[in-house]
Amino acid sequence: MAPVSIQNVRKAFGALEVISDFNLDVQDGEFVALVGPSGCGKSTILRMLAGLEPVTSGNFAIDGKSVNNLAPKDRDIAMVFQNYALYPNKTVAANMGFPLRMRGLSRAEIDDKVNEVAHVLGLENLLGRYPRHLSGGQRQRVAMGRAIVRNPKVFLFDEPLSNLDAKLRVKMRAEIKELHQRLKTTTIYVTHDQVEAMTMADKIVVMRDGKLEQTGRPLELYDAPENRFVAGFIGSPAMNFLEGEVARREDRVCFSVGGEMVVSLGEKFAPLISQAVTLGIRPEHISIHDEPVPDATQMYLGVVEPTGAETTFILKSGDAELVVVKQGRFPFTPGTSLWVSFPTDKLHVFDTTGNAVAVNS
Amino acid sequence: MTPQVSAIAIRVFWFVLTCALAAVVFFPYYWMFVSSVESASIFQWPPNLWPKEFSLDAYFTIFEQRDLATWLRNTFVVAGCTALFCAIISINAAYALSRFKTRTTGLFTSIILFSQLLPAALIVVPLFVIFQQTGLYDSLVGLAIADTAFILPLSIWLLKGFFDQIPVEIEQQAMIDGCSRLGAFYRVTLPLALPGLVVVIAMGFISGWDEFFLARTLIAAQDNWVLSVGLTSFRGEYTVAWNEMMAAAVIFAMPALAFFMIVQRYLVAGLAAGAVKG
Repeated sequence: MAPVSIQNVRKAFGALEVISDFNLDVQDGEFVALVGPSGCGKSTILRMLAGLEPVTSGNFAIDGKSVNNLAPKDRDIAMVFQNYALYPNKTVAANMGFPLRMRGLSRAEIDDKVNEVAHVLGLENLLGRYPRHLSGGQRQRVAMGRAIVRNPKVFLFDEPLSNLDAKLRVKMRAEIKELHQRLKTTTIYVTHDQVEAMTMADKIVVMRDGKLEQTGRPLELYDAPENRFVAGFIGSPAMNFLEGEVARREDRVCFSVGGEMVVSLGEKFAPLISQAVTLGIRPEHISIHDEPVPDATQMYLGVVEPTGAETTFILKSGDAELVVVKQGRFPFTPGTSLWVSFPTDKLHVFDTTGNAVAVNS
Repeated sequence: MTPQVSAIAIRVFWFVLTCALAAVVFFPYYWMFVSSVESASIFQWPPNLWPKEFSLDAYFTIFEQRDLATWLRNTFVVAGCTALFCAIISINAAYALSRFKTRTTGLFTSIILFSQLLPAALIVVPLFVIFQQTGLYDSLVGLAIADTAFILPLSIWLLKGFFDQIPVEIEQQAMIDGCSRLGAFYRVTLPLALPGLVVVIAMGFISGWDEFFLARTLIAAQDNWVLSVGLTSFRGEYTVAWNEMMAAAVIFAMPALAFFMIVQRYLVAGLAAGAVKG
């Protein structure tokens, strides 16, 4: 276990800068998820920390010591790759024992540790098999076993669940989280799947185009995104965004989309009058009614997606489209008129640059 | 015809066709062997497909009257060195072309492929001059170097295909697990490319073993002859010692055949694996 510090890190491939001035502190034993769309630089950060990619400038420190000039083998890290990177010509036991063999441990010590970890991960019966004879989930488990067996200071995971099917992914997600709770080893986990990040991490780092967009606990990011990108990236289905203007109508502060759809905002949004803004609201925060209610906007139902426990509605009005998620089952059919209202305390307002606008309650 | 009868007929047809093709391929080797053990003339009609007067005299004669043992040893030296040089150079070159991508990698790869297009006859004269000036003329190692140069482009391309198929993450994992870059290469990558390496060694060995043109040009002293050159000595000005020449040819073919049989398991896997990007 060890804290990790990333300071002013920059990475460029020739003239192309892919990471610019990246800073991050990971506490001892913390589980941090780096999330962002493909190509945002999250894997590059991980690979630089592992020593697999040279650093253009800046500093990586593990347990207070700079590791920039250390070879990967000297950084006391373990990494799990997306494609598992198991040695195809070695058995499961040899794969898991390889890092220990490289450390010069005796055969008996290696066997003991491998058996111990195999027991924890339920791999006892697979130790004599080759990777080609394992399923995706088993390979993933072996890759984790190989990382755990050497008891490193830091675990690095590079999209380890991306190659698994949806069901297995959920199962492995829980296993990795449980493992972290048991071992309490500092973990940095790269994923493009925000659900993985939300469910597993103590802290999430959202990245875009090589820059850090926001860092925080999962629910902090969910409840108080600092910009439109984070608001749209965190949460599934994604937050609804409506482009429009804040205006005063009939003595009420409203948000209007092209003069057609009008949403009552409340007096606290008065400072934003005449400003073009983006209104954001999460699908589960929108209220729907099958008859007119005060301050509600009429929309018609486009698509209904029942999933059993909850129902997703896609509502339309002119160019505006809203995704609404509600618990339970509803008798509405496509084409039905519904009325939607937005609780003002759940609204997010972003200015034209995409930054969240702080509004005093 | 019922479907079962039809299926059997198709199988019989393919079996007969395969046997016929095998017979066409193997007949020259069989005829070579028959000619080496038949003491009667091989030019009689109808030909003796089965030796009537079986005799191994030709085999004893060639070892007694010719320096066959030396030529055989020389051929082993040249084939062994060619295989060795080929393996060492192509491993390094192929790995570099596969893993270290720079702006000139594609150019180098194309140049190597282009060099394969040059026929030996085109460069044998400059090669002869260079070998004379550098003291490599009439030397077995020199001949192995020349043979290596001709088989190398194909070997590099083949091995590069193998390295390309091995995910770089496996090597990086080994580096994290405690290997240096070189250690990861030798401990992890190279064993995974073993089928390709066996193919390269086999190609190097065979090309050094049966090469004639360069051996005829770059070797002068009879003591340094290889078997392919030695075989020509059975053809005199007025006569050809067919039995002895065929006996020598059988001995010439044996090691290559044995080598193929030993490595054929890797060879098939290697050629197939190298052909398709997995």
